[in-house]
Amino acid sequence: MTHPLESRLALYAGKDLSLPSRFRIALHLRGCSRCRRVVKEFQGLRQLAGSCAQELPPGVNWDVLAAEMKANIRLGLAAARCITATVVEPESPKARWRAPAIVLPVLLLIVAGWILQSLNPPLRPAGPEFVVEVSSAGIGVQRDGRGFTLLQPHTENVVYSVRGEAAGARYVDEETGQVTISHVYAY
Amino acid sequence: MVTVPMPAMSETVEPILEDTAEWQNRFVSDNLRRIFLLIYRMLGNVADAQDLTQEVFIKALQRQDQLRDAEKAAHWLSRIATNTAIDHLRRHGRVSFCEIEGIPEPAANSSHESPEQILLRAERQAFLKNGLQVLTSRERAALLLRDVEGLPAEEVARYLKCSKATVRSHIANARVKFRRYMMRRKS
Repeated sequence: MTHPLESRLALYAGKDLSLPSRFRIALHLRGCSRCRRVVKEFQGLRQLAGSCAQELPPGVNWDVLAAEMKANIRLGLAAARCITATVVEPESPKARWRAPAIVLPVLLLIVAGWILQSLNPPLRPAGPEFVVEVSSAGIGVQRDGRGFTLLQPHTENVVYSVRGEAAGARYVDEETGQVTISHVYAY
Repeated sequence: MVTVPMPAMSETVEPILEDTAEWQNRFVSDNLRRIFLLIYRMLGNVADAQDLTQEVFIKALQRQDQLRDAEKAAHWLSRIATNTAIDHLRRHGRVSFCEIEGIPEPAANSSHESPEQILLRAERQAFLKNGLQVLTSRERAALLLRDVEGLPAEEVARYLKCSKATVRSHIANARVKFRRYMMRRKS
């Protein structure tokens, strides 16, 4: 007959095995007095340990010991409170530099932007505006009463388009089929 | 000039402090013996067990806002006690023996026991103490938590920060060693 390992019997005695394992060992125990005795011994030891462990060590006067421990615990807690009350966490050097480290780059960026803005002149000069106009003769650009006109050779077939400050003319030659596109920008 | 009296402040603060102190006293009284015995069984030394018990309660009461649930608090306390005892054993080696000078005076509460009863109790205690000394610290912790505290293996695994299989192995080894120790003692 193959007996279960002693460690398995030890676990069986404390109901620490899985259900199938317990079932197998229980079956074995039915026919094996030796293993039954071992399990009984383990169970007895568990009970003994459980009951002994609740008893105080010999010679210990619990009332005196408990009073002493309670007093020491109170003292320890009071000491801990004193320490936490007096010890103020000093501000670390890192934390002291954190705000300037954030503000300074932002300030530099603003100043640099302002300098660049003042150095570069605006792209478009101030003054009277250009005027783009389309007439039967072509596309004209005028400013301060002066200007020029881009004349179109065959005015009847020309398609004009005006968009903002630009004007365009599109012309298709009937003989050759060639397309001529002209754009005039008033900048 | 009108002076405003301060009792309003003390009236509000004192009850809170009184409640806290009362709660702390009750918490210590309810758990002190259990925690002391758990640590004592692991260390085998009254003086060290006393020191560590105090340490455990001071640690726990410093975080008393987490301890309002009494049942959870008791479990948490056992866990701190187990880990503190294991750490102590790791730092200071295995179980130490109590010096003759360190043994407290005979217990006042044992006066109702007959000399035979006292002798028997002392023998049982010595048996348990010596039996626990043949185990490793983790085996001892696993055995005490499972067989004495009655915690399920899953909970013991959480306490000892290891798997359930490891805990079962610790428990099985501990019971087997304990039984062998008993057999040697008998023979």
